[in-house]
Amino acid sequence: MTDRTPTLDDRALEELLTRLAEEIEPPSDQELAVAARAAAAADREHVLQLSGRNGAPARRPSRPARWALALAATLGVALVGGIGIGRSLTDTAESAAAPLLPAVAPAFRPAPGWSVVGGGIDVPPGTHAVLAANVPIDAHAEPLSLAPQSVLATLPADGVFVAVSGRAVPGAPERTQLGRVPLTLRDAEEATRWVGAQGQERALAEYVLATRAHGLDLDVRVFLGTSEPSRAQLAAAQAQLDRLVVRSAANDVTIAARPTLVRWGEPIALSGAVAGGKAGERVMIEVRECGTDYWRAVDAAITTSGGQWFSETMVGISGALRARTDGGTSAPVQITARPGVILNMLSGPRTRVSVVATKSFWRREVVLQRYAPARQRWIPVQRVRIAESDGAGNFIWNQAYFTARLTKGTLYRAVISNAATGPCYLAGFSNMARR
Amino acid sequence: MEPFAADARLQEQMPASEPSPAVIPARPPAELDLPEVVRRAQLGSHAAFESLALAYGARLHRFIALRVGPAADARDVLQETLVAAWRSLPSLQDAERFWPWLAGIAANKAADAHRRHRPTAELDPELAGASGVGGTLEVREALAALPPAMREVVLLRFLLRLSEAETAAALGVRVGTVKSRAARARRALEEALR
Repeated sequence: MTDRTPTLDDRALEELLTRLAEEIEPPSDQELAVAARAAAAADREHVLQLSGRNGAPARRPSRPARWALALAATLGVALVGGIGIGRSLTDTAESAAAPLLPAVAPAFRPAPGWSVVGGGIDVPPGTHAVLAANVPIDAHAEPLSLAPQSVLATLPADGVFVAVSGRAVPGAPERTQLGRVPLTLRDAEEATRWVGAQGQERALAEYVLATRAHGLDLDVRVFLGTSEPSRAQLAAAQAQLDRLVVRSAANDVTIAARPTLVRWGEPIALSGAVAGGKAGERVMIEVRECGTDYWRAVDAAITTSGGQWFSETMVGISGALRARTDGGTSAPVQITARPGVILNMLSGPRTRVSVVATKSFWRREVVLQRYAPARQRWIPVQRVRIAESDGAGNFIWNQAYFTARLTKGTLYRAVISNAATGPCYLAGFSNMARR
Repeated sequence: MEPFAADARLQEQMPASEPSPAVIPARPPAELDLPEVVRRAQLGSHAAFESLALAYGARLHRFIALRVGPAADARDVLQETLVAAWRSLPSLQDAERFWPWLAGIAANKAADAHRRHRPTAELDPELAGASGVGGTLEVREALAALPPAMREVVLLRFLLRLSEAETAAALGVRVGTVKSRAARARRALEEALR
């Protein structure tokens, strides 16, 4: 009788090959990330080539393809600039020995009527920060900093804004001791801060305190909405300082985004750090888009030395981004987006405007404007409603046609206003074009 | 540190006797919103492309290593695959089909590398760094003895777990060709392992 090996069915074959593959050591996440970055540095210029082989004119692409190419060209220009800048920033940041993120961070105990923001603040590496105000803090207006102009310029006379940043004390052993930070406004250096547009400046009282507590060097700035604060206002500021504590940040991951107000297709440079400074840790980037109430993972980054991570992403609609590790989740950073608006001068009297977004703007109004150099203003020429709204993958192409007779040499643009775009987008402005 | 959430979920779902999908899962990690990540990478997001490389790179590397054998460095071929994928990603129509599409690029790049570095004589397995645990040396030799066209079908179908249609699309051949190559490869492996 012949000795026969059992037939290799699909499952047996899968098991055999899996066992074999397990003996091969795959590249680490770090190596894969480096390989992907190197690959993504390659040009995609062939995508934008419209001419055929050997110089022969290419077949005219279909309409969606033409749009895709136009968008790709537009994005290409934006990305080359944006990513280039982002990369140079990243390279600079990565090449420096960045300080570790401390394992403790400043925070405020909650109090009614006060808004507190603990993330998305543009601070130097190795720094934790927290902001508090007795008015809402608008994270949309500009990247939050320790003295955000948008908040200070609109601070009411009885308003109080407190910014606290903390860095690890150099050379000190890592502390995890938590507790209150005794501070009093009486010890502060007093100054005057001028805010507001030129010609409309107003003075705010500023108090600066520096202290060392629980292993942190703390920098505290208190802004009051007037240069002559009342006793009640000073008491309110002192009460908020009394709520300052140092908390554990052992599992913290931070995120900062730049810019936070983006045009369609504009990349956002993201950076942050994980507490403990571990390299090779995976950081998931999650997005919560306007109109939804859930978070989705859309990107990932790997921490480098010092626990720093860098990434670059895009959003198609306003929303929030946050970073997540196995141990913790960052505070969200708000991103506000404008739709893409493209103005095309067609042959004949027609001018086409295309609004690109992830939402349909069907029946919403777009305005054609001309530039009046003498008045240095944009003057409305014609208003039309979006008549076509087509889906192409995840994008919606909203189109309308202007029929107004255009003057040669005059500069035109198209605008979709805030009211027309609704709550998930800011107003969008097209490229400028001449007939 | 806790294992990464998606990996942990996958580990829990698998009985101990089964091959561990945490090593070579058949499908992408549930963590990623694949169409969205692919869309971002198509738009030019380096970070999204990095996420895709992290999700699929290890599996691709193992496929390439088995496909090209000791003749070429699988990491170099993986790098070529990633460059080609980045360049042609905007032309991918259906983001859901990203994985078979990527596997097809890897198969082509591996075939190129195999042609470039075709050895004049079979390398001694020990010199080639092959080790054999639990009879895998015999499997490795049997696989290496298969004609390249059959080997890539076997690896795509049974290592990367692509369907017959996906394998056919990845290699640019008909489904019938995939079926016949898989059947012949299976018979050859049975003979070799007898």
